[in-house]
Amino acid sequence: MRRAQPNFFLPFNRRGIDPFTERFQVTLRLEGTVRGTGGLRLLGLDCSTNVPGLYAAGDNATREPICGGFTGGGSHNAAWAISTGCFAGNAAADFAAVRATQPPSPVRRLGKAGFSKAGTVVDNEAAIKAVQAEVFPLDINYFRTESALTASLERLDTLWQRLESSGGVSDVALLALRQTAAMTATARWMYNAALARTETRGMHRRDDFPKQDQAQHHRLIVSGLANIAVRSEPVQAASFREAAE
Amino acid sequence: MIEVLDTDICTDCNLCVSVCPTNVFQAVPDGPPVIARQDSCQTCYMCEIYCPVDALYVDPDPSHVYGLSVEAVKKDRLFGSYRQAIGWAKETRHLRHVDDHFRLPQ
Ligand SMILES: Cc1cc2nc3c(=O)[nH]c(=O)nc-3n(C[C@H](O)[C@H](O)[C@H](O)COP(=O)(O)OP(=O)(O)OC[C@H]3O[C@@H](n4cnc5c(N)ncnc54)[C@H](O)[C@@H]3O)c2cc1C
Ligand code: SF4
Ligand code: SF4
Repeated sequence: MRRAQPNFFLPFNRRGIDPFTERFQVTLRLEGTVRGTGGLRLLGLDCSTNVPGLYAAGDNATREPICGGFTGGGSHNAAWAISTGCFAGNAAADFAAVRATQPPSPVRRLGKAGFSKAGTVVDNEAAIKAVQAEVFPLDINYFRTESALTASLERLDTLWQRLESSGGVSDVALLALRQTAAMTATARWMYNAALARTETRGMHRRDDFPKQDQAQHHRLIVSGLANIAVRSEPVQAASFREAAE
Repeated sequence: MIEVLDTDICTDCNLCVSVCPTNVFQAVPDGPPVIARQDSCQTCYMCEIYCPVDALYVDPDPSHVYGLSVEAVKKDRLFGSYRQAIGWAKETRHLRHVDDHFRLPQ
C-alpha cells in the first residue's frame, strides 16, 4: 500500500495517525458535478469536435463512448486521458501541418464573461458560493425533481447574465472570473440535461421519474451559453466500438 | 492548506508561482513570492514537491488555517517530508522505483 499509494498516506503521516490501527475521522465530499462523464462531444476517434481544428482529450472530452451515463472514475478516466491525448495530439498535428500552408484567418473573441464592460465588477467569492449553493445540495443535485431543477436553473441563469456582462479589473481577477463562469456554465448545462432526461439512468436519478425508460436510450447533446439547447442523438455504437473494447 | 514559506532559504526561483494550479502565490520583484491567496489553496501539495529547497509546507487539512510557524514545521521535521516519501529527494532516490503495481499480471 505504501509503495503504490504514497499520496494516500501523506495526511496520516502529517497527523501522526496509523490508519491501520487507529481510528480517524471521515467526511463525505460532494464535488457537485456528475464526475467523469460529460465533456466536449467528439465526432470520431480522432477526437475532433465540430469546431475545425479543435480536438478534445481527457477530462475535456466526453467519456460516454466508454462509460455511458456512468462515472469514469477508477481507471477509465486516466486511460481515457492517455489514449485520447495520443489520438487528439496526432490529429491536431496533422491539421496544423495542412493549416500551416494556408494564409492565416482573422481571430475573434467569443467569450464575454470577464471581458465585458470593465466597470462591471462581480463579487467573485459571492458568485462561487452562489454556484455551490446550487450544485452541492443533495436535494437539488442528487434527488432530482423538475421543480427543484427549474428553480435552481432560474437562479443560475440570473447569475450567468451578471457574469456575462462583467469585466475583470486585473489579470488575476479575470482568471478567477473565467473559472467562475466555467463553473456556472457547467452547472447550467448539467441541469438543462437533467431536466430533459425524464428517467433514472446511470448516475442521473430523478425522484419524479425513478425508473429507466427504454425510449430514452439516447445521448443528450447540450449546446449554447446564453441560450442553452438540448437535443437527443442516437447511440452510434459503430464509431466508438473500437474505443469501448 | 499552504501554511508556510520559509523566506530564509527560498531562492526566489518562483517555481511555486508557476506550478500552483489555483494561483495562490504572487511573484514579487527581487524577493521571495508571497502566499497571496491562501483561501484558494486546494491542498494538492504541488508547490511543496516542486520547491527545490524544501521551503514550503502544506498542511493536510484543506479547510482550516492553523497559522503554523517556520520553527514549528522545522521542529517536526516536516519540510521536504513529502518529497522524501515519494523519492523526489537525492537521499531517497531508491523509492522512485519501488512501486511495481503497474506490472499487472499478464
Ligand atoms: C481526486 C481525484 C482522484 C482521481 N482518481 C482517479 C482514479 O483513481 N483513476 C482514474 O482513472 N482517474 C482518476 N481521476 C481522474 C483523472 O485523474 C483525470 O481524469 C485525468 O487526470 C485527466 O487528465 P487530463 O490531462 O485530461 O486533465 P488534467 O490532468 O486536469 O490536466 C489539465 C491541465 O491543464 C492545465 N490548464 C488548465 N487551464 C489552463 C490554461 N488556461 N492554460 C494552460 N494550462 C491550463 C492544468 O493546470 C492541468 O495541468 C481522479 C481525479 C481526481 C481529481
Ligand atoms: S519554489 Fe521554493 S524556492 Fe522557489 S520561489 Fe517557491 S518557495 Fe522559493
Ligand atoms: S498546495 Fe497546491 S493549491 Fe495549495 S498552494 Fe500549493 S500548489 Fe497551490
